[in-house]
Amino acid sequence: MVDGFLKDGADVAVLEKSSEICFQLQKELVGRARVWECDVTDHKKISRVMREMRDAGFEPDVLINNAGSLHSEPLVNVVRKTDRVHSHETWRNVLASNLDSVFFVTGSVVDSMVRRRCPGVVISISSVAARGNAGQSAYSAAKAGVIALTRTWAKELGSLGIRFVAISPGFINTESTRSALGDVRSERLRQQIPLRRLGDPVHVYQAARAIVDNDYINGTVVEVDGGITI
Amino acid sequence: MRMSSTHKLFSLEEVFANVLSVSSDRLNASADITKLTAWDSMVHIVLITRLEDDFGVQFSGDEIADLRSVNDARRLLRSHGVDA
Repeated sequence: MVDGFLKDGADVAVLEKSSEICFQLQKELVGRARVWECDVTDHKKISRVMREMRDAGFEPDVLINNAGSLHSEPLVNVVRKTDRVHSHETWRNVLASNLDSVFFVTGSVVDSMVRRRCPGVVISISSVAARGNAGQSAYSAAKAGVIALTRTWAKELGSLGIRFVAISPGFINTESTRSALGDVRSERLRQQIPLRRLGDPVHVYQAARAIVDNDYINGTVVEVDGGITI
Repeated sequence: MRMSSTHKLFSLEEVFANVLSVSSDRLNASADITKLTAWDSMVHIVLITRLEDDFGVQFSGDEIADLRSVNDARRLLRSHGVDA
């Protein structure tokens, strides 16, 4: 996503939680993009970083909420006899990284957009899991929440010139998807997709770019999934 | 060039009355609209966008927050070159 927008000439800032990855990104992107260390589940850290961004002269008119974590856990693990209900801690953590982050960062960025009366767009990454995915209570709920927030905000703030759109990717060929699925499940899934292939991260970027360019797309979900949901 | 309110379909008072569901003859130009039961921040956005669309202006973020009465709106519109 960062590479795509940089190639297209955008001025890009990245918020990254891990200090090691931040360091690596700062080296790779030096002179091309700005990188701030920030845990986007922490609204106080977000406020501080937003102030630093503003002081550095960076006030975005496009926000892409791309942070999140995948987690699979059954509501009740039926192969256990005790301690088998979904962890409340992981429920909270998954909701925090996938949904709280969207709420906190968007509030801060849109506050700035409204103050500046800057027409802007907020793109939030949801998932096909938002339709419900067995074994992914927290992830599905969070991704469905992202869609609800997108629609709510589009209704609330569209008249001020700010658009909200969700992208719902299907199975995208990334390291995290491959390690989560394994080879056998990956192949079974591939057979279920009408296009018979996993997506590529560039497909998600292309959707984001189209949303940025088309200022009549608002309050909707763009599904980038090879047709698996039809 | 200043725009005259006679070109508009609705007067400033009528816009406020329409959005806030009060009759325009009962609207006090200096009264704080945030005290009206019909007002909330969502209604405020509706009022702002009606004023912007009807009078052809765009208010700043601070102006939106500061607009609390018909008189405030009239003053802001004048600062944008509109007589209302």
